[in-house]
Amino acid sequence: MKKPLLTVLLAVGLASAASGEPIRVVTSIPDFGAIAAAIGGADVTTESIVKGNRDVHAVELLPSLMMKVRKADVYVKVGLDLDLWAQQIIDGSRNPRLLVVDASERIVKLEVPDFKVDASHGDLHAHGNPHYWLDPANARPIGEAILAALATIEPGMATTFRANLDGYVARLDAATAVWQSRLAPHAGAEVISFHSSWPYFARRFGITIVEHLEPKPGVPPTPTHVAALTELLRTGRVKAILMESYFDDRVPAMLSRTTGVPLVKVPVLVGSAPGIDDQFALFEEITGSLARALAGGRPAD
Amino acid sequence: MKRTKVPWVTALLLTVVGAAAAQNVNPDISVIGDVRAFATDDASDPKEGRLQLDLKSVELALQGYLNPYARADVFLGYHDDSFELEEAYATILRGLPGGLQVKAGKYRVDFGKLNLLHPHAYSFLDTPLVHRELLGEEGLVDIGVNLNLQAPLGNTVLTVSGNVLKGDFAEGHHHEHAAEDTSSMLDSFGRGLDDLDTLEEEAVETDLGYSERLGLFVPTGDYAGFEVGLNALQGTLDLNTGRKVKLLGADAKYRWAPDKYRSLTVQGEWIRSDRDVEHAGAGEGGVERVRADGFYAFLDWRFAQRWNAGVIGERSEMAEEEGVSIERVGAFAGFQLMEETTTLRVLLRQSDGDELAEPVREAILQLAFSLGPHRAHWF
Repeated sequence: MKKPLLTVLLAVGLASAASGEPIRVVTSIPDFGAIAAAIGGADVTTESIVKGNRDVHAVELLPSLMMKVRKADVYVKVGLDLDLWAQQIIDGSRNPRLLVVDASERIVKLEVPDFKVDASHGDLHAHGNPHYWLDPANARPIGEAILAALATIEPGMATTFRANLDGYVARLDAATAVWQSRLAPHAGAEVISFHSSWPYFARRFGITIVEHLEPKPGVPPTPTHVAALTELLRTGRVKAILMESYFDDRVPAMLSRTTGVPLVKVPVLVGSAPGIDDQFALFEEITGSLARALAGGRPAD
Repeated sequence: MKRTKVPWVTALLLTVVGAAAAQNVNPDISVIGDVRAFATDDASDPKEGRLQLDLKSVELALQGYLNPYARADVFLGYHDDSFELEEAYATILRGLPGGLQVKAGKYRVDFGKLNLLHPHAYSFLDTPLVHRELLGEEGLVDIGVNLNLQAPLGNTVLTVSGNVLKGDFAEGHHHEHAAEDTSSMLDSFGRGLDDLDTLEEEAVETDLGYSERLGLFVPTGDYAGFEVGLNALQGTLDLNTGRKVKLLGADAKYRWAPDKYRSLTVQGEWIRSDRDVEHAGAGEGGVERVRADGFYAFLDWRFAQRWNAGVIGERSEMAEEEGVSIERVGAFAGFQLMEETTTLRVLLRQSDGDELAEPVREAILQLAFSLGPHRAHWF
């Protein structure tokens, strides 16, 4: 959404009366819902458009999704051109009082191209890599953006929301320290990933993504590229193949079998696997599986 | 549909694109091309049995917001060696009472689900017979104003829509003698294109028309649901003679996506046309009422990330000649090269009907490519 549009929608939202009812927040991905719930507690209800083990890049626009947003007070989108479908859902909702939050606005972006982006680069995002929620430290800027919207609707709750966010981030920071120590022995370990989902995670946890299964973002593995990756994996430099659970694992599994490099298939969204009910469980699963693989153990299924 | 001259469209394009380039807030610009290779065993086709090539269409879309509450969409199309303004409309998206949306301009009318799509998006490649024959060569496209309400009914979603139309839907049929209309439909086999410029239009004065749609969407899961709809249109084909047309339609669509890579779409539509047709010897005034029915139904199974396959069956009677019908069945498959920006589709089909001496078989291969932003698919 263009900034003037956001500004006017925020102005409309400001004019909407606080009602005492829970603030209804709809998010593009459940991870943002988890943060919104932590901030708002019982004063917020959350619902995600992407659910389960689905690809956030592609969503079909069902009328039922529009109706969810029709009744919402706040919509939190990923931005950076990842969830372009979100704007169509917002438009289809016809909700004039909706506050639209672009959670990427306060993020320090990585992989921002310094060249003209077009489709010859695959599905490259012109404003930076959009998978920023895979750094637990980004819960703070995401949360600040959500907090601003919630406090706009319920100004009287702003102090409580602020305290809730601070407490949530403090707990997540403490957990992040544990996760970092888990991966510290493998600092600098070279890893191949399926899609370019991991730069924020890699920076936080000290691993190095040296290649991707996709030759270009969004382009499926080609035989030539797989052959080159096989050669790379056989050098012994690369310690793991890291992939998002919603991608087809046939090619990475074949590479793992033929080269002996462990495949680590992990969820990248809250709710995308049993027991992954919040960010704590998500990063516990990712860091645990990756650490076991890098240590030579069997990654969790 | 009226054709526009190339210089006019070129000037418009240069103006719009130039103005957009000079601004900070540009509209989204995208281009979609549709290239085809085909062959037919139709004995009436002089190129029977030979491979033929065609650039079926190129579409230029300019889309963007006018303000926080409204957007505009313009589609320019190249078909049959000429340009045309396919659609140009503005939509008020939000802020009106009761969630009302208002659209004004030239647009594809929401008569059924399929008519809203541009034909290059069809998995089965070609406009269904019943649309071609009862809605017009390029579907039901007209200048008008649309009012659209959407409201939840429990877990379901009710859509009520109404259009006031200029009456250009009458141009979808070319008012020659019935025998020539027959040839216009039959001539399309094997080419996937009709050369409309060879047909001579009669000057007709139309009047406002009206269409209505009632749709009910029922979700059956987070990524599944079905919609049923009822459609109607009333209009004047020729103000001078008072000839009228009434269309009735019913449609259903079911979609189920069990996982990221697989989805099933089953969709069908039935349309009935009651149309006044001029015939010599048709009695007083030379006008008779012709009733025609038709339907299509297809199943499209996306069985892998970039692969889909399906079947389609269809039948239509001719809009202006009583009791003359044609049927066809087809099987289709599609493959996305790398990304969804480039798609290869193939269609094998057989047609039979009252005016065909023997069944006609065709094979069509399509390469569809798109440049620019790709918007998500509506249900």
